[in-house]
Amino acid sequence: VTTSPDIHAVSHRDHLVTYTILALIITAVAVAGLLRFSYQQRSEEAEQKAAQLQQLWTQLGLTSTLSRSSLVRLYGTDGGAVCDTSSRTLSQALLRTALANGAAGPGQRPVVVDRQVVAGERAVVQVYCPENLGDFDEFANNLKYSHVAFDG
Amino acid sequence: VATATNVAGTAQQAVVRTRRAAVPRSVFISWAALAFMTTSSVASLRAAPTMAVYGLASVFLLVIPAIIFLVPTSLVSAELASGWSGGVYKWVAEGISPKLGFVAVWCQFALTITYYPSLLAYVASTLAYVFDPGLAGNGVYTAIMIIAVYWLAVLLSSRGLKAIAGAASGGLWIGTLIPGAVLVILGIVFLTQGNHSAAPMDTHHLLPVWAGISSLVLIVNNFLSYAGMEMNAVHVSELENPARDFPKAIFLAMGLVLMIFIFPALAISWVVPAHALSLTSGVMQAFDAFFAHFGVSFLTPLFGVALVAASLGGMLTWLAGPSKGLLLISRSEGYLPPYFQKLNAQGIQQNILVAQGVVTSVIALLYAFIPDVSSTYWIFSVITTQVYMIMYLLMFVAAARLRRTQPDQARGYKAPFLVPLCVVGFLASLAALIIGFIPPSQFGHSSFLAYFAIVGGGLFVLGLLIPYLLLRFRKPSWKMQEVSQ
Repeated sequence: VTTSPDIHAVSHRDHLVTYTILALIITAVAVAGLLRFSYQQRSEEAEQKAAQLQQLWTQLGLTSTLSRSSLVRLYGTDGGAVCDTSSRTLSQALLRTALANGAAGPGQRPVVVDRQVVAGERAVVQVYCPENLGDFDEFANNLKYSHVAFDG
Repeated sequence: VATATNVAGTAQQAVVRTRRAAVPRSVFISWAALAFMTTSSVASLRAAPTMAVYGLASVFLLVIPAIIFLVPTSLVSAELASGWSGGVYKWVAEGISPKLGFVAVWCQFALTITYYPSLLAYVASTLAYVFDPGLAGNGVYTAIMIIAVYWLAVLLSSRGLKAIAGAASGGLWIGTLIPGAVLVILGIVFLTQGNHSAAPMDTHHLLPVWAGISSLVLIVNNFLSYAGMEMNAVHVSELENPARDFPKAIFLAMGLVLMIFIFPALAISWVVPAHALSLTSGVMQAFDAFFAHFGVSFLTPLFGVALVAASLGGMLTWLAGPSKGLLLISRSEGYLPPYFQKLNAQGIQQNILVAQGVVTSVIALLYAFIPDVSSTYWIFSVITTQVYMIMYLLMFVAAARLRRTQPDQARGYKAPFLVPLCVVGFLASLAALIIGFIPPSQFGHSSFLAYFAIVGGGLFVLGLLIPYLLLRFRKPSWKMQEVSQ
């Protein structure tokens, strides 16, 4: 049985249609994302909290190159995504998966991480959503740490 | 009369088998498309924030595993693919035995069973970051995303390898190469503006901090960053000149993978201090912090969508690869029931993908709604990567044996120092297998023996028992003679 030459021509056209649909979907989602993304606004409260976070990081010995205005853009007044997710079981499950080697594919595998990986985030929770601190600590205290990234 | 009926019945069965075994004519893909498929199946920006934590030492953590694992895997698979079509099952079947060929491709396939739910959970959380971060913790949203996106990917895969290659290449450009270049350019701008790098970039920080066994776990587990370089060799017969083109594809993929892993991670470590790389809300928080410094936060949602596109492109290659290898050996040796050997009009193993989709959907529901499943899900990635190491061990043994047993087989590319390469690759894979039994952070301070039993038990069941049972209960009548259309 031989294949008709038309099949390839149709198939090529089909592929173009598929790629066009995919490109349109990605563009639509990107535009919707640009419109829906929660951009943090400058405010006195946001500035105060950013200053508080900088101070807390310094107290913890975590030297930060992020400026106060960067922290305002990142965390606003409510801590942004960190406070939305830090106490959720599913988000913590994602963090457990993310505490891994450098693989981006199925070779991703957990490793022993440095405490500083969660120390900075704990400070964010403490400043912006202290009501989540208990859940976050319960999660973080159940992990085992080692000084693999920074000298102890 | 009875004899005539039997003859007619046998003839009818043969017709049915021949129809099932029919393979549509191949549609060629370019070597560059295969290189992009290989790159997108292994590398993306997803891991950049994780490696940025280690600053300059991330270069060491990525280059040493590249020398010890990426180079042997790539060169050995380039030689094998340039001599034998069909991928790892064919290499191991020819080099050792058909049964172990099946075990090898099963191990490759098994890796993907738990990969899709975790990858798609990451996709769901990344999109949630863009639209509503609170959704990332919502079980219904996560389950719907995993199931819907998986089945859409299956639908796309069913349109044939050319569609997969195009989508994977597009995903790589949109979601990895262009955003990676943006990160590196912004990082260089940051330094040229006179800013101090957040992570020290002096010679004292070239090597990672030595913390004993934990550092060893980190370094050896990074071998797995390059896992999957050989996976797309199963499509080698879709190249016009496999012997010449596959080595070209693998060398381009090697260069791209190294660039994607090293430079964006470095750029992030220049701008964002390690403790600000909050990972709970997904890697997007790190990119958000990066763009916040430059006052270009509008790039965050665009990056989110781009990362999703790259992940889905990579996922398509994993959908198409191992399942095809499983199909090919099942057809030639009769290891799977005929139902799973059926192809659609585009030559895609649709029934294997559908069966896998059912399993993925069940896992997605368990993951999204049962906290005990999601919080311990990471352990499945340990077990499946352990199983994958069996495949690498078999591949390196097969490659060394084939040089000796089939020296005259035409090879388009001959890897230099193949046997030493196989020894290094074998030892690296063995080290990764052994180190997989060391409990990571997630296991807390629980018993080492308990961890060993869980991982060892999983390895035994998934890597040995299931393929043994499939081999044990196969039927000779499942074997199919392929007929090209």
